[in-house]
Amino acid sequence: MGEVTITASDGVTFDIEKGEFAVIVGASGAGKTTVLNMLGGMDNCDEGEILVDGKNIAAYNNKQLTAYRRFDIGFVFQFYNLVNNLTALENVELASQISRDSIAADEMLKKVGLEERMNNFPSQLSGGEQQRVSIARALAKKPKLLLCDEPTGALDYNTGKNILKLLQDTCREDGMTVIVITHNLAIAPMADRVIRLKNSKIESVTLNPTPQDVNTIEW
Amino acid sequence: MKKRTSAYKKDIAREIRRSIGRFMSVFLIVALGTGFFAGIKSTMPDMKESAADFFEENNLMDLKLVSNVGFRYEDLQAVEDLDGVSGVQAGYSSDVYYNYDGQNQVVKVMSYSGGEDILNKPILIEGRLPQNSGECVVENTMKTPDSYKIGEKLTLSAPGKDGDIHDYFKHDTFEVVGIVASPLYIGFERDATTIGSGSVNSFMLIPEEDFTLGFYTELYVRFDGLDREEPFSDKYTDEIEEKKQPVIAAFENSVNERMKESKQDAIEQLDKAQENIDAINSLLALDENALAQYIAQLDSDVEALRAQAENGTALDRVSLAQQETKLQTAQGLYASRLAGDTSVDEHLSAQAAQGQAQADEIQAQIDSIPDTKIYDYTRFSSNDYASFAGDSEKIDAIAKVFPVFFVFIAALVCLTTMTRMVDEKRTEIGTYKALGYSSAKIMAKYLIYALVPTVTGTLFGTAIGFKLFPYIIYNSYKILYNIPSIDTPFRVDYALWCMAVAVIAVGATVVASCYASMSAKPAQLMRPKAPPAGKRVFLEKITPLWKRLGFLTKVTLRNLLRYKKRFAMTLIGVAGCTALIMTAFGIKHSISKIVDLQFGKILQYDAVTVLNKDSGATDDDINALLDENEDVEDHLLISETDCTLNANDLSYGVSLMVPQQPQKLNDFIRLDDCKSGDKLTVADGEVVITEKITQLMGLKVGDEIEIEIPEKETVKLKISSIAENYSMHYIYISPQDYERLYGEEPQFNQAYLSIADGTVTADFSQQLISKDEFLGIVFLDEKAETFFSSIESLNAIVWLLIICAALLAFIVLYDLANINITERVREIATLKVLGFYDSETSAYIYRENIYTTVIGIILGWGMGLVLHRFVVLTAEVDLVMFAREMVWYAYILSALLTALFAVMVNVVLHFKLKKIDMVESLKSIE
Repeated sequence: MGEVTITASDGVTFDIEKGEFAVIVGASGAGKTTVLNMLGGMDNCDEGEILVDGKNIAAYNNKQLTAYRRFDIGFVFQFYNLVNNLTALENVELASQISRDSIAADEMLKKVGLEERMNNFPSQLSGGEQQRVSIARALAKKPKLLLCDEPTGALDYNTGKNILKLLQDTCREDGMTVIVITHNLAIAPMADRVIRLKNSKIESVTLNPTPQDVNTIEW
Repeated sequence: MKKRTSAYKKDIAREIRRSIGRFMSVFLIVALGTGFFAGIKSTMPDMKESAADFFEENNLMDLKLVSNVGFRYEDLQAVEDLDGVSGVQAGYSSDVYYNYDGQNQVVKVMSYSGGEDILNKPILIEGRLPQNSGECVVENTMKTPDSYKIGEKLTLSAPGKDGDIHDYFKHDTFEVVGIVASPLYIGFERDATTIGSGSVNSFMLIPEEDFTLGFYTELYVRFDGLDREEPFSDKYTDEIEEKKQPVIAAFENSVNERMKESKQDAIEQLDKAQENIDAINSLLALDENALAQYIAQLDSDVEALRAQAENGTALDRVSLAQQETKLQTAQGLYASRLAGDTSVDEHLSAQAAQGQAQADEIQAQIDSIPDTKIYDYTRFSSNDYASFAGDSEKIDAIAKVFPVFFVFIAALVCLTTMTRMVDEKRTEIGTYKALGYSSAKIMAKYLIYALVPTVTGTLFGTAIGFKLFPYIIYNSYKILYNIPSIDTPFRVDYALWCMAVAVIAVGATVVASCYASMSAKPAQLMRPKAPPAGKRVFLEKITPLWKRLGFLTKVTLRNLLRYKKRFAMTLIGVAGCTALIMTAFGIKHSISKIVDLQFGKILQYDAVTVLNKDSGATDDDINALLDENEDVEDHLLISETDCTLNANDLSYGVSLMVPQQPQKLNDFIRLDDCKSGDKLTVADGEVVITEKITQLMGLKVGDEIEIEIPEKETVKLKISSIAENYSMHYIYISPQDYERLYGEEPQFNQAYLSIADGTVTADFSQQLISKDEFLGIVFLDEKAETFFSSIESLNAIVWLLIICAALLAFIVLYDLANINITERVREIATLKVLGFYDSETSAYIYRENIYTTVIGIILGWGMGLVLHRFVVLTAEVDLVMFAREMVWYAYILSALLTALFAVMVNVVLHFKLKKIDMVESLKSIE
C-alpha cells in the first residue's frame, strides 16, 4: 500500500515506498506540475505507467481517475483552496462526506490543532490555520497518498515550518505516505526520499537514511 | 490621438470575441426588453394610425343625417354651400328581408353611386363593384349567410304583410358581383332597425338607379379642416360637435322652405275643391222656381259674356265657358226635374260627395305633413368605432406594466454582468492604469463593450418588436374589427427613446461598477481582490432546524444568501417567468371560462326565435301557437331594444329587455346577484342591470341612469340590483314599468324557448319558421360556438407571452448561472480534485439553481395573481366580462414550464462545468 512508481516520458523512473516522506524538488518549469497532475490523477498520460498500490492509474479513464482522487488521494494546495462559504468544519466535511471510510471532521480538526476554530470561516483564519484545515480536509478521507503542492508557498517562515512539522508528524505517527512538491531545496533534509527534477527529467533520486526534524532545519 | 491606438481597439474587439457569451447575454436581454416595450407600446398608435389611414383612404363620412322627410336636391345644395363642408353625398337605404335557410334576415340595402370621390368608399375584397342595374355587392362576415358568394342571385322581400319589394327597388333579385367591406362598419355591429329582430344582419350595396324611393333617405357630410390624423381624439369629437350644428340648421331651413311651398299648393287646391262643392250644393238646394230664375239669370249673363268675349281677352272666354257649363248643368237639372227624373240630382250629389272626399284627402295631406325630425350620427355613434380606440388603449395600459418589468430585469442583468466583468478585469485595469491610461479611457473600454450590444440589441429588439407585437396583437383583435391590415412602421422616435433609456441604464451600471476599481491605485488592483467572506445566515440561529438540514443544503443556503443581489435578481427573473406564463394561461382560462359561464349558467333557454311584427299576430296568438307546439316545453316573450345608456358622462350601448312574464324570466335567463349570488326577480319597479356595464360606468345600486332609445323619449331609471353576466350588457325591467315610462306597451319581438329533449333541431326550426309569425330561430349551442371562435383568437397573445417568458427565463438563468460558475471556477476545480464526480459537481451548483427556481416559482405565483388580475381588468373587451379567478392548472403549468426552462439551462451548464480544468485549482489567486 502506498507504493508509487512513476515512469516519466524520458524513461526515468522513481519509486516511493509506503509511509515515506518524499520531496520532489525543482525550479520553476522543471516539470513539477506535470508530475503533480499525473500523480494526482488530474490528467491522463500518453505513455508509461503510474503504479499506485499496484494499480496503473495511467491507464484509468476519467471516471476511474475521479474515484482514485476521491478515495486514494489527499490534496493540499498552495493557496489552501478552502470554500469561502463553509466553516473550517464544513470544509473538512466536504471531503469526509464523499469518502467511504473517513475520520470524523471534528476529530480531524482537533488533530491539526484547530479545535477552537472549527466554526470559523476561512476569512476569519490565518494562512497557517487555513492550510491546517486544508490538510485536515485531505487527511479526513484516509487517503493512500497525501499530495502537497508547495504547501508553504503562501506562508511566512515560521508558519511554513509548523505546517511542514504537521506533515512530517502525520507521516511518522500515522504512517501516511506524504509527497511534497516544492521549489525549496532547503526542506530536502527532512525527507526520506528526495527526487530532483530538471528540464522535465529526473536529475536524481536520493535516499536519506536520517531525515532531520523540521525544527532543526533553517533556510 | 495617441490614445486611439489600434491596440486599444483590438483589445475591445478581442474582448468581445472571447467573451461572446457575455456579450450576447447583454445583447439578448436588451433586445428582449426594448423589443417587448417598443412592440407593445407601438401597438396602440399602429392600430389608431392604420384606422385613420383606412378612414381617409375610403373617405369616411364625419356626419350622417337621417330625416323623416327625406332629402332632396335643394337640401343637398343648401348643405354643400356651407363653409367648412368639403363633401356632401345623399343616398338611399332600405331595410328589407333576405330569406336564407328558412330564416328572414334583415339586410340594409344601400345605394352605391360609383365614382372616385364618393364618401364611405366600399373596399373591394373580391370581384368587382356593381355597375349595372340588378347587380349588388355584399359583405362577408361570420354572421353572413353562405350564399353570399359571387355569382349567387339573392332574392329580397319587403317587410310588412303586403309589402312590395318594387316599392323599394326596380328588381327583387340581385346578382352578387363582389364582396366588400365598408368603412362605415369597422366591427360586428350593424345598425338597429325597426323590422325583424331589431338589428341589421348585413349590408348590401346596389346601384343608385335601382332604388325607386321618391327621395334620398340619408345625407353624408365630410368637413374641412379636421384633425384627420387623430380621428379618435377628443379634439376631433369636439370639432364635429361644433361643425354639425350649422349643417343641421341649413337642412332644417331648406326643408321648411320646401314644406312651405307644398303646403301652400295644397291649401289652394283645397280652396278650389271646396268652391266646387259649394256650387253644386247650392244648385241642388234650389226649388223649381228658383232654378228657373237662376237659369234666366245665367242666360242673360252668358249673352253679355258672349258679346264681351267676341273681342275680349282669353280670360273672358274662360269665364264664358264656365258660365256656359253652369247654365248647361242647371238646364239639365231643370229639364230632368220637370220630367220627374232624379238621376241628375243623384249624379250631382255624387259629384259633390266625390269632391268632398278629395277635399278631405287634401286636408289629411296637409295635416299629415310631419314636423321635420332630424337624426344626426357621427362616427362615434357606432359602438365599434369607440371600442376600437378603447381596445387599442387597453393594450397601451398593459404596456405600462409588462415592459417596465422587462426593462427592469434587463437593467439588473446588465448590472450584474458588467459588475462581474469589471471584477474579472481588475488586473487588466491595473495594468492599463500602470501604463498611463486615464480612468476615463479605461472606463470607455467597458462602456464601449457594454454599449455595443446595448445599441445593436435595441435596434434588433425594436425592429422585431415593432413588426411582431402589433401584428400578433392586432390579428387577435381582427376577428372583432375588419380594418383590413395594420401598418407597422419602424418608429424612430420610440426606438430612440428605448435606446436612450437602455444606454443610460447600462452606461450607469458600467460607470457604477467601474467606479470602485477606477479610484483604486494600480498596485492595489494588481493584488487579488479579497473573496467575499463566508457568513452565517440567519437560519443558522434556528439551531434545531439548521441541524436537521443536510450538509449540501446548508452550503447551498449559505451560497444563495452570500450573493444577495444576484439571488434577488435570479428570483425576480424566475418569478417573472412563472408570473408571465401563469398570466398567459390564466387569461386563456378567464376568456374561455366565460363561454361556460354565460352559456352554461346564465343563459338557460335552448333557443330564441324572432317574432314577425308584421304578421298581424297578437302576443296572445303567439303564446297560443307556442303552447300548441309539442316540442316547446316552455316559452317567454321578451322585448329587446337596443338603446344607449348614459350615466356619469359616459355612454354605452345596452339592450333593454322587457319580459312579458317577469316571474318566468329566471327559467330562461338566470339572474343572480353578482355579489351574493341570490336569485333576482324583475318585479314591478325593479331595474336589474348586468355587472360589466356597471363596472364600465362606475355604477352601483341606487344610482340613476338614463336610457335613450332612438325616436323615443329619454327616460330615467334607478338601479335596484346588479346581475352576474359575462357577455353583452342588459337592463331588465317589467312590462308595467315599460308602459309607465313610454306610455305604450312593449313590443315583444323575441321568444325564448325551452325545447323538449330529443327534438330534432333542424326539423323543429323549419317547422317553426314556416309559420308567418316567426322570422328566424337561433339555438344556444350555435351561439356559444360563434362566441367561442371569436375569443379563441386571443391564443396568439398567450403564446406570445409564453415565448417571451421562456426567453426571459433562459437569459436570466443562464447569464446568472454563468457568472456564478466563472466566479467560482476555483471552488469547482477544487471540488473536482477532491474527487467529486461530474454529476456531484453539477449537483453542487444546481442546488442553488433549483432552490432559486423553487422559491422563484412560489414568488411568481403571487406575482402572477396580481398580473393576471390587472391584465384581465384592462384587456377585457367592453362587451364581455372575463372570469376573474385564477385556474388551478395555471399554477401547475407555469411551475412545470419554469422548471423545464431551468432544467434546460442546467443541462447546458453541466457541459460547461465538465469543461472546467482542475488545473484552475492550482493557479494562484488572481
